[in-house]
Amino acid sequence: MGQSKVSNPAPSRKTAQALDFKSATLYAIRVVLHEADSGSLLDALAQRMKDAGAFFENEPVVVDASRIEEVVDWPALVDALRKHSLHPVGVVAEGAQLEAAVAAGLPAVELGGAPVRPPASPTPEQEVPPAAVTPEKPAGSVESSPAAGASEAASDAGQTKREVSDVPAAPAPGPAPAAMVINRPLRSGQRVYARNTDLIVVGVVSRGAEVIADGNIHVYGPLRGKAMAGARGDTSARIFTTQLDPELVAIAGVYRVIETGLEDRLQNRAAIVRLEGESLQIEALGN
Amino acid sequence: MARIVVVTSGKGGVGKTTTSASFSAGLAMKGHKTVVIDFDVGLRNLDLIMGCERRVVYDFVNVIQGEASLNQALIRDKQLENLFILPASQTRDKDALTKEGVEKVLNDLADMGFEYIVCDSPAGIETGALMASYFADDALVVTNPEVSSVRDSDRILGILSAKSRRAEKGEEPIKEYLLLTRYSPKRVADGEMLSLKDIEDILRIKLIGVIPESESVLQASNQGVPVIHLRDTDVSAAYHDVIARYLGEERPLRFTEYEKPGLFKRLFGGK
Repeated sequence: MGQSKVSNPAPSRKTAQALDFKSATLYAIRVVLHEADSGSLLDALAQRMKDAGAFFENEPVVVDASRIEEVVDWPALVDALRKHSLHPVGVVAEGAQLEAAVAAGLPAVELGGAPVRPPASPTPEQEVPPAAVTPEKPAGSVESSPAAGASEAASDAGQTKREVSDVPAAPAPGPAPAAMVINRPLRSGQRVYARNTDLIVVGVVSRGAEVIADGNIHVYGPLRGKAMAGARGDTSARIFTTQLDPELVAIAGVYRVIETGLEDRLQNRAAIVRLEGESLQIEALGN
Repeated sequence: MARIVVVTSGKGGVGKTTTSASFSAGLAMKGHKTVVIDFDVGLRNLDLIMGCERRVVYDFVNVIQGEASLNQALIRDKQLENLFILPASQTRDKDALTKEGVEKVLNDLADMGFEYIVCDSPAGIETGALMASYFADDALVVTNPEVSSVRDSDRILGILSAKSRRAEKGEEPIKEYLLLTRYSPKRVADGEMLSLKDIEDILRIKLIGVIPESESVLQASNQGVPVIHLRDTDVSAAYHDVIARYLGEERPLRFTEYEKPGLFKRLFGGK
């Protein structure tokens, strides 16, 4: 979350400024609307906040209305969000929808990097930021089930924190940023996103935890949750772990849900996950 | 310095209040001045387990809101003179617990010379649970040997590591201890329950004890006596072990292996 830096007042210096402009990126919750009806929206919101209220309280919220046509009752929705201690900071929408939202006081924002996908796209994209997600072609020996992914995504979608940025992803020149290193276990319900870099976790990634990186993901410990490498579309990104037992692995949006465990030669082994063409390859490391 | 211990689990019905009662009683039996606070505003239970429900006049929320002093609200245990209970309110809304209010009460208790402050957390991850764990130095994570309880404990461990005062201030993290309760070696042997090893492998925190499944827990609750007082029961012995380990002693695990009943037992029943 961006924090403004307060400069010390230095009246003696001619360059003293009352304010500074600095760039900031902001983590926000993306609330994706699936229908326009106010009643249903408010009920769904109340239910979601009841289920996991304290977690989202006082978080900034971007409302994504890009997949519904019918115009939403924006003042009612904004009011309801505020009542739930959520802070609407912007809207993603087009045309009349956008105009209505702007009229209700929500500025238009773009969600960093990810092109907004058409309504027909598979639901799991809610889960995996920000690159488009497409189910792996049914090739691998491992069970791949988009339907399961969809239902999981739906149940977890409320917890999705999204990075909102006005800077479009561009191949950054110069040295790559240092990898993000996490030296603690990641527990169920926790999510870590390494933006523009690799993610290294020293410890367990539990069932229900998510690790996401724009680059590679390394887990020195059991990987039991979800791992999404190349989140902005880097197809050369890989996932490395010393003990592979994931719920889901994804690279550049191609994902595989592992419902019933991997085959014996991979399950709980050190392994690499990489993308070849349109399919994920999982290889045991060593032995 | 008072040590603040939260007894938490995420899931309900796993034995938090039973543990809070016996753990605080066990510390007091070792001579430590201890207070146990019920954070389950609206659904208070601790006073029942401690057998002091009829002596509740003022409660935790009254103290926070300045309607009563700590001395008025604290109830001295009927058996242990250095154990006190701060009951929860049954009527107030859980929003009555504020961070500032809770902090002040904890500081005042520390000033009164309490060595251990045991916070009995409500189930869930709502205000009450967050408040109970926010100021903790140590956490007893109470877990049953089944998957949903283990998952919820994992979640709670995540919250302890991210949303506690120690985490926010970047201090040394909360010390986390796993306490397995309602453990039935027979059902583990039969494959009906997760084993000790499975659970340790998933949660990866220090195991402080295993409390066997036993009818004496229910018996004790009904009598309004912390189960640690029921002499010659496995549960009481197991809680005494937990206290000893918490205070730094090494003790081997008990009650974790299944022993096939002998012929005599099979013929004449008994559990």
